[in-house]
Amino acid sequence: MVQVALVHGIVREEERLLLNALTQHPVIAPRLVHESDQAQITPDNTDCVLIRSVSHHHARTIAFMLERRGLLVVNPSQTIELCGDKIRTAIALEQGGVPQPRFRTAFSVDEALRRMDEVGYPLVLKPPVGSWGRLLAKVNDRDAAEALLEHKQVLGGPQHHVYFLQEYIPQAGHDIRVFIAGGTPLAAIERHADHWINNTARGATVANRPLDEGLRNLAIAASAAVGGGLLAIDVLVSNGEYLVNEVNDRMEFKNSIAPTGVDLPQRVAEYLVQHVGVFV
Amino acid sequence: MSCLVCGAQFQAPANLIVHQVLSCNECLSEFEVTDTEPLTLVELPPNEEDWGQ
Repeated sequence: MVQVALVHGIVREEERLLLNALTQHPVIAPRLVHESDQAQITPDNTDCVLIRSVSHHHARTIAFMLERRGLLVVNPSQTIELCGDKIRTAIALEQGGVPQPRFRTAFSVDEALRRMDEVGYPLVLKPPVGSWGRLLAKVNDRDAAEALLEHKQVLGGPQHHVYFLQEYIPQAGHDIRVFIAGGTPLAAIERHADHWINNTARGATVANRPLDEGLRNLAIAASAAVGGGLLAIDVLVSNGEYLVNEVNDRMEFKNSIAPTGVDLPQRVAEYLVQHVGVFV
Repeated sequence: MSCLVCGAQFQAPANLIVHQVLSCNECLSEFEVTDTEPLTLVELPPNEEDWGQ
């Protein structure tokens, strides 16, 4: 049997679904391990660790510690590092030749304003670490930019003094998310919202999106750029071209199973078995 | 059980797990299960800046 430790903080519906899928798999013996009990995980009692911490900082730290103890971790700490920081993701995608919105980084207000002028308005200002659409700002003009940057500089901590600017790509009411495991695209959804932020945590509704060749190829390239594993790749469409917006390493999927008809937790279980087999 | 925030009654699902998140259908407050015997809940803290995907 493949001994799988599912490391968690709070247990959301996703972790329940994963535990059920792992339990039902004929060759997996799963167990839940809370983050605070991670020291109990050793190569003697575990073949593979599935990191499902809701916190990026917890996930990357625990993954790193477990890898250093000789464990096989999904996703690897390097992938978590790359996906959890939008600047690192953008650099990895750039190095991998993966199409994405134009972006700039800046480390001071003056530099950020210059970079914003280069990108052009409207643009999107994102904190390097964060999700569920929190603290995203669509910056429509320079006046708004100056005000936002002053607020960040005065009120934000050091992490908010690293600026990630992205070209704003208008969407026709939805963006796309592709689920991929070990370089194999599994399914895709459209996330529909009236707001410019299409996030299911903010109320976006979900519909199936057939996987065409362009989406498949983009997802495979993006996955390779960040080191592979279990990923959800957020995609924008610009003038008919697919662009990778973000890559998620501990994706949420509870709203994507019914519309796609793909049993994503089961596919995760199958990936883990395959991954352990390949690794051993 | 009763919601710790609004007092509304809501049904806990079967086979609860410690650290599982429950939410009140009425006020949408979220709680974390800290014990299953007896069932004990605490209000979930506000989402951290680095939560979610």
